[in-house]
Amino acid sequence: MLEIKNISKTIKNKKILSNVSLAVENGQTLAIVGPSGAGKTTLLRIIAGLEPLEQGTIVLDGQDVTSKVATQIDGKVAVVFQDFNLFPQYTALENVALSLKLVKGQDKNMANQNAQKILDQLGLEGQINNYPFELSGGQKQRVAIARALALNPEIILFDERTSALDPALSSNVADLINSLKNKQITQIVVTHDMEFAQKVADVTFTLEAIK
Amino acid sequence: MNYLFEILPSLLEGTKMTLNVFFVTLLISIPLGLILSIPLSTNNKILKPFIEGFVWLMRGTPLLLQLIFVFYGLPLIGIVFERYGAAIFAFSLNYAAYFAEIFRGGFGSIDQGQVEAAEMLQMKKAQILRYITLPQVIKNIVPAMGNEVINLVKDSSLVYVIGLGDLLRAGNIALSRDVSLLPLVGVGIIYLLLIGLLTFGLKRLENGLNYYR
Repeated sequence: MLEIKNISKTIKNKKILSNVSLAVENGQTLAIVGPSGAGKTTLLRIIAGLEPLEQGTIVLDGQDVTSKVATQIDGKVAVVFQDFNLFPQYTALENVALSLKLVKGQDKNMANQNAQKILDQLGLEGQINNYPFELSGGQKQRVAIARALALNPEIILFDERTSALDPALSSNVADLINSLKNKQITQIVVTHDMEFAQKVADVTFTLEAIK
Repeated sequence: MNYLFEILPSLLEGTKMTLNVFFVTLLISIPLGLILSIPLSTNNKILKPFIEGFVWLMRGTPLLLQLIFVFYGLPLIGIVFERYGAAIFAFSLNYAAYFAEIFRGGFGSIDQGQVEAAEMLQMKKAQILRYITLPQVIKNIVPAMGNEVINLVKDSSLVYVIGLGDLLRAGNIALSRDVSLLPLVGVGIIYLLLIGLLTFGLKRLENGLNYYR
């Protein structure tokens, strides 16, 4: 279970989050919705350990992880970034296999085999040797999800601010998120698209912009 | 033409020294520039001001002056270099400063999201540098580095002021001895050939790195 208690955050003298508390059970999908500027992405970055906290606590499975930064959370939390942030110099397969080699210590063959399995499950059999610039938006999204799944995370965070802009991609992503529910992975999806949130979420949390 | 062939061995002997200064300077200044660029790209409050000062000093004074200072000035405070050592020392520091700035610009051009994605994958700082940012930086800086590398071939002729026997000095000796401008034509042709080869190599490197966008 992930519990966030009384989180506050100020950026450049502007209060972005004020006493935000929420909880999500293991395996649940939580959608964080709210207008632009409400601090959805900031909240997601705080959970990921990419943004320092000034007040509040984060508890993951009973363990206080408040002061841990991204590199100290042992791969328990993964992020699918809004722009995917795939590594452009590596193929889809290499993007997924890289952490298996460098972090899990798998040899090249095993890392490639495991990476290929994940990519196959996401329907990317034909694209494993393509570089990110050769992939469509939806394919990039799937590679980003495959890369996030590689380290067997307990929680995946999705920054989906653009989903409302492209109906086809949005529906594609919703299907993917729903398919991941079978893996018992907790998913937190940041979006401003209520329709999208209703499609994927077990629980919805609304963030209001601070005036 | 026959005269040019007659003086060719001495010009080639000078070319050896030119190439020696060129390659040894690159071998030292590129890694040194990379090391210096890392604090320059961060908010390191201790190292950054020193390195910025060093870069300002190296880029703000002529290489010729630095070369003279190292060979003739440093002995006054007990630091003595022989000719070749002085040339390599001055060239390496000067070029490291330029390369540090180029690397700094290269690191600045990398999207922070790349580093964050690697951090989320639990990669260590050294792994992020080696596998994620540096390959992208190298691709971005090849054209700027290429310009500096080509400049280095021509700048290497400055070693004549401390009496090193490079290509230009070989040409000058033949000019004084034979009272003819032809040796300088030969020198010019050799410089053009060297830079032509380098330009070709750099273009191939640039194309080789264009396998991704």
